[in-house]
Amino acid sequence: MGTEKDINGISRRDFFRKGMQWAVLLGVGGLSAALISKTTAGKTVWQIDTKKCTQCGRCALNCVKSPSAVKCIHAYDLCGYCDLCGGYFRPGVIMLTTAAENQLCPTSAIKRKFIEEPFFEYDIDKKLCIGCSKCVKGCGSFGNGSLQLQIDQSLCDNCNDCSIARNCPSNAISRIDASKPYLMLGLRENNQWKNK
Amino acid sequence: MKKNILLILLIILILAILAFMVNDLFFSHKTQDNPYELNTDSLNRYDSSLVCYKEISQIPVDMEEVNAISIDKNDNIIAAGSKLMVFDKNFKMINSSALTEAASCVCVNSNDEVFLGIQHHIEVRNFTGKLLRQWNIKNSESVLTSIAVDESNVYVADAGERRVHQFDFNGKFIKNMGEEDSINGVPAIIIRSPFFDVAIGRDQEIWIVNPGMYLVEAFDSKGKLKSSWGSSSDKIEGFCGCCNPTHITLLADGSFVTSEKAIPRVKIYSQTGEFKCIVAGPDQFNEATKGLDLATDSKNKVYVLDPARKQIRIFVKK
Repeated sequence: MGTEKDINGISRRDFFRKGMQWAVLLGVGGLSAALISKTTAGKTVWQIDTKKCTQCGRCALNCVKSPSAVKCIHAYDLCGYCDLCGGYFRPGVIMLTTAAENQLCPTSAIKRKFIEEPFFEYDIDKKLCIGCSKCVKGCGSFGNGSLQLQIDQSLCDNCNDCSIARNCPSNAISRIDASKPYLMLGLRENNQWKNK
Repeated sequence: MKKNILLILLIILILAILAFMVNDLFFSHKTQDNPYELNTDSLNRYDSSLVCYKEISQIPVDMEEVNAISIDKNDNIIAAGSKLMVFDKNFKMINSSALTEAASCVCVNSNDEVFLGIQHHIEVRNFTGKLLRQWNIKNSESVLTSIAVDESNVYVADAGERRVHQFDFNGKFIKNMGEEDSINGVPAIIIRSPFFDVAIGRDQEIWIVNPGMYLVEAFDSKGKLKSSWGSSSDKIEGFCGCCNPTHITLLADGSFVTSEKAIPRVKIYSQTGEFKCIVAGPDQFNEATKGLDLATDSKNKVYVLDPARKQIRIFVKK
């Protein structure tokens, strides 16, 4: 015949009740610990190392966002404010005018503004930029490399498995500390050359 | 009969289309061109018949940072960077001494005193590396990129200040050159990157590069602008990129040797600035090589310091 008490003096009902209490306690504790660890652990974001980037153009094609979350960002400190800008004009261009056929950017995302002879300022229209890196390569090849490709953190979905990182031929994209989410050269204080 | 022929033709057509599709899907290995890749190869092409020099030798320069080269009256070769290295005219190393800070520019006077531009000061050493004297450039924004000497003066090109400082051999400041002269309508020198060269001409005129305007400008001893030459162009005759030439030197007949970045190449221009020929084209340098300092010896050999390959490359006329 069944009895309420076992040999240790704990009833079956008490055993199940205590078991349930422990299970709930462990579940709540585990969940809390997971949440705490997630909030306190260092958050990371995807970013392009400009030193490794080869401007292959794949960032425009492989990002899950359309247009790509990769954008050209201008480090004005490094810019030479050139008239003949390698990032703005197509190679071999005859006339240095803003006519569409002279522009390197396929979406005319770079705006050229006269400052004073012989200086011109170049601004990127983020909405038009598709992150194709043509201007970045032109600027790096013929100028100071002030146009740089970066993942815009306000647009990036921070996917677990970044599609452009997977397709990057030079492994230039990696996770970095979210507290310093950009890896641009011109923003560093110890920059060797800085235009006044 | 006609129907049968039509049917056969249709079947052949369908089979041909199917064969084309199968081939295109499974056997075609065409690499799709990246529509966004910028190809600048066309700018690196040049007419090989314009090459008038040939490379005869290279001197390896064993130092971490290689920045500058100069040649003295006896054709001894001085290379500077993280070390000061001296080679004789047969390319045999005479001396090598480490420098506490890397020199960015070097030149040597007729007394075999070596002038080194280092950070914000000038050091004068002998061939063994012994420090003879030094003086400071009193500006924290100075970026010393070139140094030249005549019989009694030292000219220091300062890319940060965008002017050339003139000193005597003991470091006494005399004047600045290349400053904006709004009264006489002379604009300031435009420098967009840390490349700014100075050289002494046959008649002791001071040749200063204005890289942002693609010009080489001559100043007299009073610091007055006398003449200039140069033009911007993608073609071989001109200077390309944001700011060129990066370096100049003169041959005995007064013609110029120039080097460029963006399209790394070394060219010869006449005394009046007309393009003459090519010493070395872009295909002779590593991609994106910049900082090709130049020197010439008494036999008109052209010495090119190649910082990417860490070599002094010697070219003679064909």
